[in-house]
Formats: sequence, structure tokens, C-alpha cells
Amino acid sequence: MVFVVWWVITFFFTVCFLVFLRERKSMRSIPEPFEEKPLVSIIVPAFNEEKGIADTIESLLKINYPRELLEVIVVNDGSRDRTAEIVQGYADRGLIKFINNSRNQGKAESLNQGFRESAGKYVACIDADTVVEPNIILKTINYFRQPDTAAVMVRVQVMEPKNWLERIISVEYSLGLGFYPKLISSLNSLYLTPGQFSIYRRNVVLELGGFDRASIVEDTEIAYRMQKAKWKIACCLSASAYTRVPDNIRDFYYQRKRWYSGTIQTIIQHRDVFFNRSLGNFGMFFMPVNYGGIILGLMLFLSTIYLLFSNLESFLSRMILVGFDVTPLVVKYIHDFSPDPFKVSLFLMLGITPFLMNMVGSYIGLKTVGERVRENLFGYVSFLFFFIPYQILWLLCFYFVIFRKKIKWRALM
Amino acid sequence: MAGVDVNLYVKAAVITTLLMLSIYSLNLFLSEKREEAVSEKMNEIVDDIEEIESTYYLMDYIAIEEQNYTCDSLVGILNHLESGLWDLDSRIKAYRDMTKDIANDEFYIREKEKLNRRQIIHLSMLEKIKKQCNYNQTVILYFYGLCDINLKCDEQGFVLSYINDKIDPEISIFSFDADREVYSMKALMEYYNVTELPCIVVEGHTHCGLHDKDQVEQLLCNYSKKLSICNSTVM
Repeated sequence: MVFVVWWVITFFFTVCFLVFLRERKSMRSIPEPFEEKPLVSIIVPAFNEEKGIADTIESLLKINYPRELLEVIVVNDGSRDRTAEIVQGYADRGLIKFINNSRNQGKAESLNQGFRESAGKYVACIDADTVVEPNIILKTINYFRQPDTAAVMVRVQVMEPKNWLERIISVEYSLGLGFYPKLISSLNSLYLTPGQFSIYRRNVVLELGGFDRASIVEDTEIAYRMQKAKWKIACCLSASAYTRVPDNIRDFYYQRKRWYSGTIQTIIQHRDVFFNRSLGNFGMFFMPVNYGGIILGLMLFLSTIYLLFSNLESFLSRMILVGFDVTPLVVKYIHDFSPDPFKVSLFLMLGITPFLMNMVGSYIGLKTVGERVRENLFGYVSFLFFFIPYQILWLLCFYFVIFRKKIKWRALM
Repeated sequence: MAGVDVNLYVKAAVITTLLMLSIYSLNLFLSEKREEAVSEKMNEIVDDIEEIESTYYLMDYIAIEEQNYTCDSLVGILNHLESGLWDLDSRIKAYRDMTKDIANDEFYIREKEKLNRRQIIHLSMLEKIKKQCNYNQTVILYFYGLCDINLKCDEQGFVLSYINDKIDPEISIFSFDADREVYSMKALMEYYNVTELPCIVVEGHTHCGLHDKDQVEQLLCNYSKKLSICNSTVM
């Protein structure tokens, strides 16, 4: 079991490393621009977003793209706060198009409505708590010169990370919504179009029937359908969107509960992609190895937890026997301490290598996307150990999905 | 049809497998080194035992007025031997845990048997020297077995380590793995009427079952009042 898990995880890292070696020079390059700039629409679905919607709209209005070729559509999804009032102010000045729904229909339907109302050949979707860099459209639009590219994602960064959790998530986003998607896109295996910011070929989304209203991770679900329809999803590492992230454990838990449970539901819904040779790397490599690795890793994690608890039980019973007096043991241990290199077991070596690979891979990834590791050393080191809460969350989400617990969208507090 | 990057995956599979083989080979190398370290320590112990035996025979041979000198020398070697046996015992246990479930641990079983025999030689010499040299050392015999199933054995071992760490060098603990087919040890178990495991024998008095720190200290003080812990222990 340990050998199988080790092999799968190491194999995945090795593939990523080989892809990195192959693509390292073109990681941040951008395709040649269009000779004639196309019309682009940007959809902002908003539900109770009074805190961030103005910043989002302002950043869209500062986008470096001809105004007459840029259409901004805000879809209010039955907000109960001041969102509609704020957006109406921009609409009244003729800066944006406003679709004001009094009833909440969900994010997917808001996006679909925006798509139907849009005129652009390419349509970007952006979360209402996210801002973008001014050149984002100029950088991403060029990827559509490839006729089989259906969507382009960008690097998602954390907006002004301050507390410990934001700093850890900042590292996670740099890798998980930046470096690794770029590598995976080189294998035509991108499995998501992040809701924070992604740009789509409008006709492809409409042909695929739009976003799935039943899905709680509509941005991932549509990526699976694009893969199944043999469309490509690109990743532009040189363009960034900046988003707000949970700054407390409670919000983090609810966010991940939705993400992971939604991912599991989507995988079950599209289980026919596994080992589907017609889907190339996506069906034959990414899906089986990535999610197989997660499942095997969870099994290993569970057995480790079991072992830890057994050891804890044995430790406690020993401590009870000596009346919790550890002084003689500690004194003797310190007095007789001599490192013995032969006390390195095979399991320790097998356990430590994926950790080291993750450490090196994360460092290379952060450097590649332009992060200074020293400036967020805390985030980097903590992220290496954050696999523990991630594993616990995955386990919980498997439980939620198997026992059909209801998972809803929940805005950040 | 979308392509599968077979070449890339073959390369990655080869690298991953080579890495795994390297780790496995490194473990084999370390296993060999572990066995060498145990054998080396065992040889040192054999030398010590030979030294004790020859000094003991010398004591029989030389005049009575010279015996103090040989007694001092014997006690010195016995203490050295005891720490060597203790160290080897913990090393065998730790190394065996390293290789458990992966390698055949016949080597460690064999070495444990050898260790048990040497502990008995050590014990016999110690008892002789105690009488002849008026050497006051409290002796605890500890019999354990089936430790993979019988967790009480591990726990009793932990309590005795605690006691040893606390009052070393006032006591000598001899641990015997009752699962090993060592006839001298079986005879010792019969002599002390060891009926269940774990079992401890303090200064010749047998007490089977699991004993916590307070109980062991109480037993020690009952049979050997000179120990430093007995001043603070309830009598």
C-alpha cells in the first residue's frame, strides 16, 4: 500500500518536473496578438457584494482595451444588501450594462443570463470580490488565436494577504491557481476555469448549454465538459486577478467544503473521463493519477491517523504507569543522546521523499510565478504542512457527498 | 483524438521506479550496517565476559590479601558489561523495529537469543562477585514475551527503563525474552517460578503481572533498603 501511494505521488511530481523542464522558457510568454481586436464582454455575477463590487467595477473600467470593444455586464442575483444601488450608479452613467434580478437564481444562472445578453465573441467572467490588472484582456485574448482554445484562465493571487491564513492561502493560490495549472495546461489537461477570472469563447459555452445550474462548482464542471468536447483550456501565467480569500477558519472551512464536495460531485457526474483514451492526457493521465493519488493519499492518511492514535493510547498508558514523571527519561535521553544514522527506516525514507519533492516543487513554482519566497517564508513553510487540514477536509467532503449532505454557496464574511 | 504523451510518462515512470529502487537499495545497505553494528557490539560483550571470567579465575588463584584489587577490577568490568548489554538490548529492539514487516528478522531473533545467554552469564558472575567481594548491587530480573500482542510487556519494560534511568547505577536489570528457546533461561524461569508474563524478580523474590512505578519502587525498597529512592518512598 505504502509503495503504491509513494509511486503514484512521485510519478505525478516527476511528470510535473519533466513538463517544467520542457516548458520552463515559455511559462510566462504570451501568444502573438490579434491583427484586429475583437469585441469582449465581461460578466460580473453579484450576490450581496456591497463590500467589493465597486472595486471590481472600477478595475474593469481601467482595463487597457478600446472602450467601444469592451462591454461590462453586472448581473445582480437578488442581493439583499446595497449591491444593486451601487451598480445602478455605474449603469446610470452609461459605464456598464446592468441586469437587476430581484430573485436569487444562483451563480450559474446569473452567468448564463450574462452570456445570453452579451455581444462579445469572447466573454470573461469575474467574481465580484476580485480585481484585475489593466492588461488582462490584452494578454489573455491572444490565446484564442488557437482555434481549438475554448477558455483561458489567469493566475489568481490573494488581494493584500495580511493574517496567517491569508498568507498560507496566498502560497496555495500561487501554486494551485498559477504554477501547476500552467504545467497541466501544457498537457491539455486543465480541469477548471476559475470563477475569480476566466475568459471563454462565447459560442463554445452556449453550444455546451451554458453553466450547469445544479453544480456548486460551475467553473470546474464546465471545464470537464470542454475537455470532453475536445476543447483546450489555456493558462496565462503573466496575467493576474486579485481576489479576497477567507481570513478565518470558519470561512475557509465553508469555502473548501463547497469546492471539494463540488469537485467530488463533478467527478462522479463525469466519471466516464477516467481512462478514456479519446481524451488523451486528461483521461489517461491527469484524472486517474491526480484523483487516484488523492484517494490513495487519504487512505494512507487514515491509516497514519489510526497508528498515531494507537501510539498516543500506548504513550498515555505508559505515562500513567510512571505517574507522568518524565524527568528521568528526558535527562537520560539528553545525557545518552547520540545520533544513529542506521535508525532511518524505509518507511521514513518513503515518507520524507514526497515531502521533499513538494518542498522543492513549491519553491520552483513560486520562483517561476515571480514570488519572493523569503518575503512570505511563513506562508511557504506552513503550506508544506497544510496537507493535514486539506486531507481532513477531503475526508469530510467525501462523507458529505456519500451521505448527500446539502452544500450551499456561502459568501465570505 | 487527443494525444497521450506516452514518451513523457515512460520517462517519468522509469525515473520514479529508479528512485524507488535507490531508496530500497539504501535500505538494504542500512540493514547490512545495522547487522554489522549489532555483531560488533556482541563481540565487545563476548570480550568483556571473557575478561570477567579470567579475572574471576585469577581471584581463585591469587592470595586473599590481593582480592580487593581484583574485586575492584571485576566490579569495573561488570559495570561496563552491564551498560554494553543494556545498549545492545535497546539497539536490537530499535533495529528490529526498523526492519519489521519488511525484512526477515531472523538475525535479530538469533542475536536476542545470544544476548539472553550472555545476560545469564553476566547474572551468574554478578551473584558470585556479590558474595565474594561484598558487592551490594540490587538485581532485578525481568521476563517478558509475545510483546507484539502482550502490550503489558512493553509497558513493564518502559517502567523498568524509567526506574533504571532514575537510580542507575544502583540497580542491575536483566531482561529476558521468554519467547526465545534458550534452555538456561527456561531453567531460570522455572527456578524463580515465573508463571505469567511480564514477571519481575527483585532480589530473588518473584512478582508476576504488570507493576507501575510506585509498585516497583515499593518492591525495591522492601528487599533493598539502601537504595536512594527508599528515603522518599513510603515504607
